[in-house]
Amino acid sequence: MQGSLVCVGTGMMLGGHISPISTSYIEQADVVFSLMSTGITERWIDEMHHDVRSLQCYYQEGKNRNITYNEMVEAIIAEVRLGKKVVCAFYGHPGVFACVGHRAIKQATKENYPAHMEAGISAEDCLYADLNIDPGESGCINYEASQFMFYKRNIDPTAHLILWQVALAGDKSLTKYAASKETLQVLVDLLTETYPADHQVILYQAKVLPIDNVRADTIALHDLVNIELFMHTTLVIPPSEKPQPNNDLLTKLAQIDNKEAKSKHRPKLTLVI
Amino acid sequence: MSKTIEILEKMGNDSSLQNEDAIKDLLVTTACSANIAKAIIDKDVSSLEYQLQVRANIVCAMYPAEDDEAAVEDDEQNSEENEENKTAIST
Repeated sequence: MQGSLVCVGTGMMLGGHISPISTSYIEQADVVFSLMSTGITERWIDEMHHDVRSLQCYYQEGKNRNITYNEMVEAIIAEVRLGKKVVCAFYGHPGVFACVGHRAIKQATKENYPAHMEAGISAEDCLYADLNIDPGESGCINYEASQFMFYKRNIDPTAHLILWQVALAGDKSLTKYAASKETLQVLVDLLTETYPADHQVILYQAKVLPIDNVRADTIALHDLVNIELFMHTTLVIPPSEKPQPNNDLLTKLAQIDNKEAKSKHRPKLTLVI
Repeated sequence: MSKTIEILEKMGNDSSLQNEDAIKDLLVTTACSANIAKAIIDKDVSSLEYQLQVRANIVCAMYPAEDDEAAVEDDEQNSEENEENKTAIST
């Protein structure tokens, strides 16, 4: 019997977001690996199948998280190699700001095992609903907070900027579970190169349990270093400027439109020999 | 599925249970334990976690800021620096 791998997302809300196909994959698996955001949602998945193995045991403060993720992948692939139908259940979407699923699928495919991912409802999806933001309205760019800091970026202050895992911002070692005030200040200093220091930003946390409340705290950007952050806190920076029309480009588009309009109304000529 | 998890699951996927009165009715009809019911009504996640004896200290960081190759290079560089320091100390 050939092993296989399916990575599914359980969504953010316990019970409310998991898709029927993801539920079916979990129920019909030989073994399920889980990575949930709370102990209660972990228990919920535990109770869906007789052999659910939490991947939480691979995390350790002080241990580089890349090593953790690779250990998780190895544990998953080991079961695939044994010929089992393996399902990995991740909270949210299994492939959005989540690398283990992608790495496991890549490895399984490399070893010629069938492997694919089923989409899930991500924290980003919940953010748009909870904060009443339409990314189509002004544009939206998402970064992992530390990755945003490590590389030179062109920030567009006319679009939304969303920084994920902001509580871990600036940790180059990938070993910490909380950023210091000093590293958060580095992030604030970086952002205030573009935004006013008193620009109103939002600290967001999606509901995970039906008894949770959404966190949508509005603060001034410069206050970020003094606010309690959790691993699942996201920093949402709304636009601080209105977009400016690109007049050169608009002129080019108008010229194309005019040309097309003229060719439509041109009289049809027939060559008579 | 255990009763408490079933109740939470139902609260998560049943649109008729999105108000306090409906939740209270559900807790009565399911004969939920008094302590669990109180935790649910009070929205006391810590109490619920304690009563269910679920895993504490969950980590939910699922994305590295840098990929494997960069991390391996950093680890190798750190190892080399550690070796140099050991040599410097011993001399």
